[in-house]
Amino acid sequence: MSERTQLDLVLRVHDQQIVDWAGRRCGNVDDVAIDGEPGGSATVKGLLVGRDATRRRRPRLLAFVAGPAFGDAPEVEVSWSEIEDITQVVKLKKDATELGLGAGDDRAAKWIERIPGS
Amino acid sequence: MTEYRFSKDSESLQSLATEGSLLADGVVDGRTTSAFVLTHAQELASNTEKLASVVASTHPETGLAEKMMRLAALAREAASQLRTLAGHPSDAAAAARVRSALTNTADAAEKLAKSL
Amino acid sequence: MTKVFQISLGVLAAIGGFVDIGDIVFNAAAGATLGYQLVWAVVVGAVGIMVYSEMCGRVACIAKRPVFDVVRERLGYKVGLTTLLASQFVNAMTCAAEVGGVAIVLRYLFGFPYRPLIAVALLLLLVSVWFLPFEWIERVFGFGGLLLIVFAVAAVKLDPNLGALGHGLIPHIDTPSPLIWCYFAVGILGATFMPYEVYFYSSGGVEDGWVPPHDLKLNKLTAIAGYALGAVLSISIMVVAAELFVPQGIEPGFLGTVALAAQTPLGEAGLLLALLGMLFAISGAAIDTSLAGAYNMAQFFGWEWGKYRKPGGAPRFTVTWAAFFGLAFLVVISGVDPIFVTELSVVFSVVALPLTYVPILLVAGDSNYMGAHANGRLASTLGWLYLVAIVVISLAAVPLLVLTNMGEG
Repeated sequence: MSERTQLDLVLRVHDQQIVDWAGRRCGNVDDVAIDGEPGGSATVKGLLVGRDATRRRRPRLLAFVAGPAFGDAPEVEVSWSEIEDITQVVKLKKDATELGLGAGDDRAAKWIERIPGS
Repeated sequence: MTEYRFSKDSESLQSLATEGSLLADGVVDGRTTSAFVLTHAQELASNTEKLASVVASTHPETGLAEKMMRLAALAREAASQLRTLAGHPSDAAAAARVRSALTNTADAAEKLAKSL
Repeated sequence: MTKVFQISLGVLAAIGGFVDIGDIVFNAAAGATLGYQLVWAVVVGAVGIMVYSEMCGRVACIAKRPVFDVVRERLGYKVGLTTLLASQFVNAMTCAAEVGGVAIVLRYLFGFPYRPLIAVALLLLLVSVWFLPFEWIERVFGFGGLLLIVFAVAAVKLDPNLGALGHGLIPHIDTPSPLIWCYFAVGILGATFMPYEVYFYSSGGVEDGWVPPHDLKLNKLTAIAGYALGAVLSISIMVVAAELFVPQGIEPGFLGTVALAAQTPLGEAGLLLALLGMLFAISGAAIDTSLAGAYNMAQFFGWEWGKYRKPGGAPRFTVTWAAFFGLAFLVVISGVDPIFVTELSVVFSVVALPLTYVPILLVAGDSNYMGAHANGRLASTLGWLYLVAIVVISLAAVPLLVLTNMGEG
């Protein structure tokens, strides 16, 4: 992780693209999981990725629109310790599949790869 | 059918007939392709037929009945000429006759539009 | 990627986006109805899309973010999702219009029945995007679209009234129907500001890995040269329509009418060049819109994306652009007139435009993202001026559509 003393969770983490160690795009930061109660200390547990994480943020009229997931997990929590660096993207230390991310692309790939030229 | 609508429909017929005449002109001079003439003449004919149908089926305001009948007849005649052109897209002699007929139709439609 | 290929990215986006089926018919209709009165609208629209496109390219180069990445971040999920849905609706409509346009032009070229040609058009587009690498898509459709220069040649051949053309650079109303003038002005501005052009352009910039300072200069050159060329082509179409159609009272309602405008002064060669130019430009626009739709979805939801990858390397992105073509096919085969769909898509894209323009304007001017490359005084002034213009036309678009009966009075 780059050395810094402050990190803007809203501007620099929320809604950022996530890429795994190999540079594969595997989701956006849909929410941030924070441990702790108001009045006490709070720590950032990790990142939440998936349509369940965005449920609270969707407009009421569009609550049914989660985005075609093609088999993505409803919600994955990526521990803060799995993050390699945060720049224009959130870069992870491990492979997307190991962390349960990008399942939708893996599933769609099985169909696409049957077509010549893929 | 109001006077305004009649005027607009007359102008539409004038436009379609003039365009058809321009298309036929290309065949006469051998400066176009059969595929283009066939396709575009069919498009123009189809729109002209629709116009004829709409004009013939609309109730006219007082004093417009005779003019409406005349406009519908002109439109049907123009559509027929355009179908002829579509059927003979490389026949210069046929195209020359169609060009002449459509030019007359366009002039007649323009006179109708201005007669109000 | 060499400089020539990089400039061709802008040429494709400019030709395919600037001169698509909507521009062709709208500029011809404006010329036939109002003569030269709306030449200024083409110029103002061209400068506007240059400003928008340059900002998008700069954001792609410095912040490494394409448009919908920025939209979600700056507008938040709620508004961002609404923006996405609105943009995808417009993309889908535009794609349908372009696919229909390709089938229409194929019919003019070969004379076969229309409905089978819709399937042929779909197949050609699917195969092109599936098999051709990004650079070849640019070369084939970008440079093929340049055949539309035949309209510039036709315009010169018709010996246009240069005084009237010059007078057209100054906004003035010389018609008994000011509302129709307003409708066509909004339509021309809207058609030049079709946002799918910049979705495609900015995504290409991120894929291409643009880096400063070299690519920043290239971005500016591409935006200016590409859209300037597009403006010349659009004005040429307006000129031929004004010179040929106004005196004869012809109201262009078909793509064939516009092709006739090249055939009349230039003969069979002019006709064929016009039709081929239209085929490539409209096909390019169809590809732009389907890929733009896929880029938007993938970027908003965080999927893998990219045309530089093989289809299997970005699976959901691939499924999405193919789905756009599939949806376009279903719309066109149902019998809806593609030109009617185009006019609607231009109007609705104008309504949704502020939602994608604002985040880019904010990010391009934000030194937290852009460092020393944030908007300077000129870019900032133009950027905010155009935002005002965009908001005005977005509010006026639908009322004018209704009040003028789509420009027919």
